[in-house]
Amino acid sequence: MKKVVIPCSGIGKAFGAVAREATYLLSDGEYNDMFTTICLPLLMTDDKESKRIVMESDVYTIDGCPKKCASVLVKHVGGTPAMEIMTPKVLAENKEHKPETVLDIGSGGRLLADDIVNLILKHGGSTK
Amino acid sequence: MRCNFVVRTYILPCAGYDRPGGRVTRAVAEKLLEEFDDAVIGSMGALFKERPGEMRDYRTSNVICLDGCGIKCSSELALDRGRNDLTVLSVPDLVGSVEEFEEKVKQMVDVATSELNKRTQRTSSTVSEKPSREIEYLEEKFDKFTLRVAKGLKYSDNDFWVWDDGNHVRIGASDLLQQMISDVYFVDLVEPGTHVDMFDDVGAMESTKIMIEIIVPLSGTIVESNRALEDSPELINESPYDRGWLYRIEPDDIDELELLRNASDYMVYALAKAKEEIGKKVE
Repeated sequence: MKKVVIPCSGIGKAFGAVAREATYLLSDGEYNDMFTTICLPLLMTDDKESKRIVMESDVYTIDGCPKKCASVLVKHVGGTPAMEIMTPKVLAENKEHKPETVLDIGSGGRLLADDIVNLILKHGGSTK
Repeated sequence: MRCNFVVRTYILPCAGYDRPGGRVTRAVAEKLLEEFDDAVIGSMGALFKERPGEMRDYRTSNVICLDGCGIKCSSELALDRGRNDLTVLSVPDLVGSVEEFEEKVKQMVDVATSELNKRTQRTSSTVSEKPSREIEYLEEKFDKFTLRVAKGLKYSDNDFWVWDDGNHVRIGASDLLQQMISDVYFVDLVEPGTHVDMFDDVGAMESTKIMIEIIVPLSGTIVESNRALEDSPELINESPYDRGWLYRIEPDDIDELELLRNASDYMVYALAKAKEEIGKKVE
């Protein structure tokens, strides 16, 4: 079963854009046989299929701010994230990987997304 | 407390990550953000959790929902939170038959722009989140921003304020400063007990734009740091004069406050600084 990565819905925020970039690197890139994502709003509408996936899978949440919408919503439907990643805290560990703007997270933002990907891969014990 | 807010445009894209329509709604929202000075992009998660700042924007703005698929999460959630005067645009309904991603986005933006231009911007009065104390403000507009300066405080040229509560003083960042540095994501505060001299730097705030030092506007001993900022640094942006305070200080000499600017003096100074920063004419 694929592991599930769920980013926050911080549209218009650079950290939200980084969270999504990291998610797409895992779900659409070279790790797409191991990771998938599901739509966060479906958890708000108590969508049965999404809820089942969250309950049965290893879920990684990537939040862009301390409100932690992604983690909170996973818990709201009864799930327990295998790992909760806070994008600003990852940046605090590597301050030169700073995103630029929401429209273009820039090279710093892409490096930050890579940092998040590596954290998830390391936690999941699966690097190619 | 009642405050005036300019009614804005609150765009709520569905953010469906694994669905093509979700990507279209995000791209449309970001384009609209570029086109409309008064637009803000809402967060499904924050609206679901009824985060106070989000609810304020939702209640006081013209709301436009962008649904990416037939489940219509965005408009369903917006309706559920109490508004029934929404503008709802659905990707499947409007551009379902369009092949190209860019063309879908363009057509959606055109429809949204047309809808938004029909609306008249207005000003309304609404109840703000209750502050811990009564605060009255001076307000001025510059460019697309509204600058607020709390009355009764003293201000340094470094854009930090001081509030004398009769026992200790509290300090924090001004509204101008928080707007200039943008979203704060990390705050490093020194421990209580630290003695500071006027204009010493004691700690730092880091935002998506810049890291700045916290420069204390008067001398004294720090008796309390705002630990709430460790988990919620965004309070500096959301509530600069109240919940986003930085330190409580036992002043060495309260007369040092006389060296600082009062609110009306600081407003003049801040507007000039804002004008210089953004290089645009102040309204």
